[in-house]
Amino acid sequence: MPDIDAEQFPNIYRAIRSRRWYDPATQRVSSAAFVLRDQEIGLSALKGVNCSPQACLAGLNTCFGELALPTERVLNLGLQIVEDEPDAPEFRENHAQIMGIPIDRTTPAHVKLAEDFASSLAEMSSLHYDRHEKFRE
Amino acid sequence: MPVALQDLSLGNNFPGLQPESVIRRLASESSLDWRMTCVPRNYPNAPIEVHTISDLQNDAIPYIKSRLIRQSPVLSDLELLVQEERETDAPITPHANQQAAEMLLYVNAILGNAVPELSIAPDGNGGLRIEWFRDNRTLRVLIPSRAEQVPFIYQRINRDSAVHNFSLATVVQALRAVFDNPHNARY
Repeated sequence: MPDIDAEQFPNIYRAIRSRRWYDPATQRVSSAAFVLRDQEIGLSALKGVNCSPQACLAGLNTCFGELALPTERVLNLGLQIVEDEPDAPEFRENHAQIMGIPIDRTTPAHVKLAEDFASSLAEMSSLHYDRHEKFRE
Repeated sequence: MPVALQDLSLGNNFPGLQPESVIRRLASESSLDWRMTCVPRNYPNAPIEVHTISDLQNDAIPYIKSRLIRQSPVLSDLELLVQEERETDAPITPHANQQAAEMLLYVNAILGNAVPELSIAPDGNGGLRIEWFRDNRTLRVLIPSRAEQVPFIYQRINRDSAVHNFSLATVVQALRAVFDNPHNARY
């Protein structure tokens, strides 16, 4: 899978699947936004966004908006951001994945590393788009 | 703490049960601080709710769940989250909900308001992530969706972090270490 070009895409965007991922009172992004789900090998992200209340580019049934992450800072954590393989059956041109987060969450060492990544990704994230204006104070 | 019969939700479910005896037991407990009266005598081994007659006969004083939810903002938020996630493809499991409620009640009973702000979020797999935070200090409890999965405690101060095996006592100790005196937190 090809690596993303950080100059071409200075930011990547994570669709907000849960309202709990952002607290408008503290303007704090939750680390929960960066936890792998069962069966996932990477965190889904978008290279560009132009969503509206009617349209969700991430294709989620429930989406509250997007978080923005600076591409270079994500890479500086030691993580990889890869684009979809053009020949893959599920290829989406606007889709990327953050790779390198431990999938196995059964040992303290893996949990520590995964939570360190989740914490750092949350700290560098910011609210980019409030799709349904649910995050107003 | 006044106890209303309707809060027990037992009357029609268990023919032959004498509700008055349950009320007497609860009333005797209610002379203590209200938080403690809500915890079964053999907590945390007691069932969180009474399902059978034997639960009562086994000396388990029942939770008054509806009253607790109304009285405790922390449990209200947990209940709200469970409702929010109900229609998603990974609703919060009863196991995660119960373990989180037990932990929050335990922490509240021991530390009361001496803990910082709390955030509860779904983990996307049916489990819960419960996090206390202040400035650059975080304590996070990772509660998985299923009983056979292992819960963990994660603490972080600035860039230094550590993971502990989960127990109710360890959560309280870690909260004290991270937020009362962060210099004592072990890594």
